[in-house]
Amino acid sequence: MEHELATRMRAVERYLLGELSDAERDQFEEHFFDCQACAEEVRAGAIFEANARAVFADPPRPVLQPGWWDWVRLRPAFAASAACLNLLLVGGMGYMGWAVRGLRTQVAELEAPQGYSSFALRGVTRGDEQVIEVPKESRFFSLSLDLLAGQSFRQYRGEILSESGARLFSVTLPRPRTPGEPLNLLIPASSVEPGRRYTLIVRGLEERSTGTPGSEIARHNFLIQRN
Amino acid sequence: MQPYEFDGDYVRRLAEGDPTVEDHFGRYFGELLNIKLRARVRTRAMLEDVRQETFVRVLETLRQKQGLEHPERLGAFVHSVCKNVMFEKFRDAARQGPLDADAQDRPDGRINAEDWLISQERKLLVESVLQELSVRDRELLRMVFFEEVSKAEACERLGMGGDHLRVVLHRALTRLRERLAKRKAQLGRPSNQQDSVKRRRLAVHYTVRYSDGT
Repeated sequence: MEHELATRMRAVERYLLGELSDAERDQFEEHFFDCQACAEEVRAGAIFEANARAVFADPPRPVLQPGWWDWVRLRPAFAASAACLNLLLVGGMGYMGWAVRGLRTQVAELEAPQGYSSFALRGVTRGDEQVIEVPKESRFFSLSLDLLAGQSFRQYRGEILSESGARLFSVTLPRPRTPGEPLNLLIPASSVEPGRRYTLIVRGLEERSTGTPGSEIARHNFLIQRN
Repeated sequence: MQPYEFDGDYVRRLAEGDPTVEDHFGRYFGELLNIKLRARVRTRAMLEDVRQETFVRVLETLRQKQGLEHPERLGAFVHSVCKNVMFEKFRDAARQGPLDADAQDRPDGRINAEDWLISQERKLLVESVLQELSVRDRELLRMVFFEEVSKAEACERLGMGGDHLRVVLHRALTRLRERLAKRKAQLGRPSNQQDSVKRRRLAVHYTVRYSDGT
């Protein structure tokens, strides 16, 4: 038997399975006694057959149910994803904790008694600006302005505009309890930047005596500085 | 086992009793003879008889003729000698009549003849190969090799085509050969001292054995 034919007809497997005719078996045996490649395959086959029989003859070992860790260990892609997710969760929770601690501190600081500087806005020549020097340690400062006669409304609205004219915030201002008292506006120091110019516009709401509702009753330009 | 080229030099050294070549010859053809004979003889004793007689006759012939006309056909020569020895043994056994009652109770000759193939390490290797097969393929091999269900019936029971068994076996053998080769590479060659001790032992072994036969 030629090696080519032996390979083509899968002689090794057929020999081990006893599927060759007597003549074919003799021819193949003669061949693998001469052919070291086929001899090696037959030898491996005999080892496999004998040891497989011995393995099957062994009493079955108790099959251990794979635990969740085995399940994870056998799926590296899942394990990697789960590890990333865990990392994100831990990181997220850490960040949340840090942020919450910061917020608590800020709330506690806000709730604590504190002083603030108050600045009276005065009428200035058109185009001029008033310099507001806010102390560095102050968290708030207040702006107050006197109402002129005929500017009595139920409420007022104060708007702070930036240099570009963008409205930074708008807040309703209660009318003074007694006539002659100024309007007061408390501003967080962190909402304005030193060296920048701002404009406060005050509008009267819900006409009581004179004036048009929503109409501008005062406009003040000011420059913020921190010292 | 290191591959050898079966050529004039190998045959000459074998005829001259070179212990290294004798060692290789005994192990290489010993395994092939076992494989050939295990399906044909019933008992381990018979297998050993045929094997030893084959070795003796091959070596005698080589020594008398100072080699072989076609040394590259040494394997075919060993095979033909083995066939002759085996038929002679069968004829002798037939002349001696049917087996006695005790002989019927002898353990399965094939299992005995396979002892040399089985080792704990090989079992583990084969087990690892079996574990990599699908449950159905493993069951197929179990039925054929262990339960000795006919191949046709095993394939039918598992709803497989007739060729599937050969494919499964081929796949398993390929993996086993890879593992055996890897294991062999890990073990490496024995040290020179171990090698020379082994050669001396084998030389004594063959001298005693063959001188008894001649």
